Amino acid sequence: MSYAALMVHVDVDAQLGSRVGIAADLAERFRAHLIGVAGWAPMSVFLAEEARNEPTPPEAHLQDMKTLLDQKGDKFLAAVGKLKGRAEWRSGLDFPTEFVAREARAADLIIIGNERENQDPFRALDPGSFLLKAGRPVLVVPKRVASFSPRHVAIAWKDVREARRAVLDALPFLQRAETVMIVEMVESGSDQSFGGVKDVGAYLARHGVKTVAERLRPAEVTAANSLLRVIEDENIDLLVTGAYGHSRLGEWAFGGVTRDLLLESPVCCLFSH
Amino acid sequence: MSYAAIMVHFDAGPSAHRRLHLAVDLADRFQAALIGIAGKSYLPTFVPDGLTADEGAGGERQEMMDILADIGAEFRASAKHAKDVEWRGRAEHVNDLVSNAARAADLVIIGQESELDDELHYKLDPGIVMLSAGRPVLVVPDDVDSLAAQRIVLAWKDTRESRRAVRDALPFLKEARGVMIAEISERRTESQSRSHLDDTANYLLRHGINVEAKAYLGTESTVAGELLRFAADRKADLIVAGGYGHTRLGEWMFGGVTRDLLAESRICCLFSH
Repeated sequence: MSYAALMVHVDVDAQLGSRVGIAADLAERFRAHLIGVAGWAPMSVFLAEEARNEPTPPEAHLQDMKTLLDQKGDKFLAAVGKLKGRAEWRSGLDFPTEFVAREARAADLIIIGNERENQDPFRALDPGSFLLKAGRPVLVVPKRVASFSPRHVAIAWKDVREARRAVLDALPFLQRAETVMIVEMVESGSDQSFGGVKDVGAYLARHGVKTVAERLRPAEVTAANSLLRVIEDENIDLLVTGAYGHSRLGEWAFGGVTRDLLLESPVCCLFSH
Repeated sequence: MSYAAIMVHFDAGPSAHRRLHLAVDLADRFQAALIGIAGKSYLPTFVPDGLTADEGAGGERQEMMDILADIGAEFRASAKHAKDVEWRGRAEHVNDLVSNAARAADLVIIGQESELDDELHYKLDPGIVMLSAGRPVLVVPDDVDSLAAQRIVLAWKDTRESRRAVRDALPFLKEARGVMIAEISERRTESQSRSHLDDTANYLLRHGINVEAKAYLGTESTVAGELLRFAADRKADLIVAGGYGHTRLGEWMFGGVTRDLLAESRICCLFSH
């Protein structure tokens, strides 16, 4: 139940970037297969000027898109050449957020970037929405991270489904880390028991992971700020956390944490939903 | 990364004893710790002005603790052959208790419906635990006391929950002799289904698991009915499926499948959400 297959999203509108190199390194370390994936949806005819004359995108246009995606694929396969037969390319004329989420069936971990090249849902993957749809842990690599070999991992703990998922999903990373710290996200004004944190420590010990528990310092303005402070103070290079949406009332506050971490984390974050 | 800890809901009724028998056997097979758990809380009764519910239930609380201690003794006696055993009995709402305690285990085993509790108690609701645990939940029918899991049916649907279920079930799938994937599809054409099933089968292969058969279930009767008939034909004793709730519009339809499986299945079902 380690990671046997990884998947990395490749932007239609940008260079391959360091994310692909990081994915290839991880695939090597886990002896896993690596799948590169890109999605690009044809512009809706209702939005396009020429829709009045041509109700469907012209075949030649679709063919051009396919050709460009194939070229991306060639570049990707060349960039991860060291994996030899263990690399694969997939692309589809479809919305990237939805397309990559469905292709996630083929992998144990999905690697994406933290920012969108543009706000166009036809071409750019929306990280916040993707985290909730994938059904797999998602490793978000900030643009300025050049290499990734996590030695000091922090778990942002909160006794909810998403965080429980994240702990389980991150096991292959946790088992290879030098130190693992559990940081409880205490809500302001509440005095939560430390029991949950101890329980997670015991659970991880059963998987051979030693942990250090630490309560969150509540001095900061937001939970995300506190986590960013921990990342800096403790030299953390991977943060493991639940991914929260805004679909349920209780998730609202944490949905904000997820958004803040996506935008501001200087290190890679592993999100589970 | 097999199952290192297995949790079983044990409330001392006859079906709980059969379920525990199954759990002890699984803990032994996976070399996992076994955690027994029970919770008990009364329905809120009419509370007079000026009294909190806690004050009103003071004597009842002690009574519940005594009952839980007895159940714990029964658990320890019945689980004495398991190597690493732990008991948790708490005077708490059983659904919250089991869902939150799931942080301590890789797999949660519950019954189709709690039989000991009379109408004065909250019952364990398998649907709620399934949606909030953040762990795979194995639902054991009342008259089942063992699970060979040598022949397993994967109920596939291209959704987040199915993708979760496949990965969560890997320890069972690796030990099985025959794994069959059945696609539940209403609208999709068979060729689309085939590529998705091939992809899932390929994912399993990367984890060392061979898929014996792929099937496309029609919808002659209900989806759950088709699944159960397919499992019976193939002599499977475990169905792995996404667990759906009624919280989102898109889940509504499949929530019905989950409910039907919970109510009608005579074999074990592993649900993930």
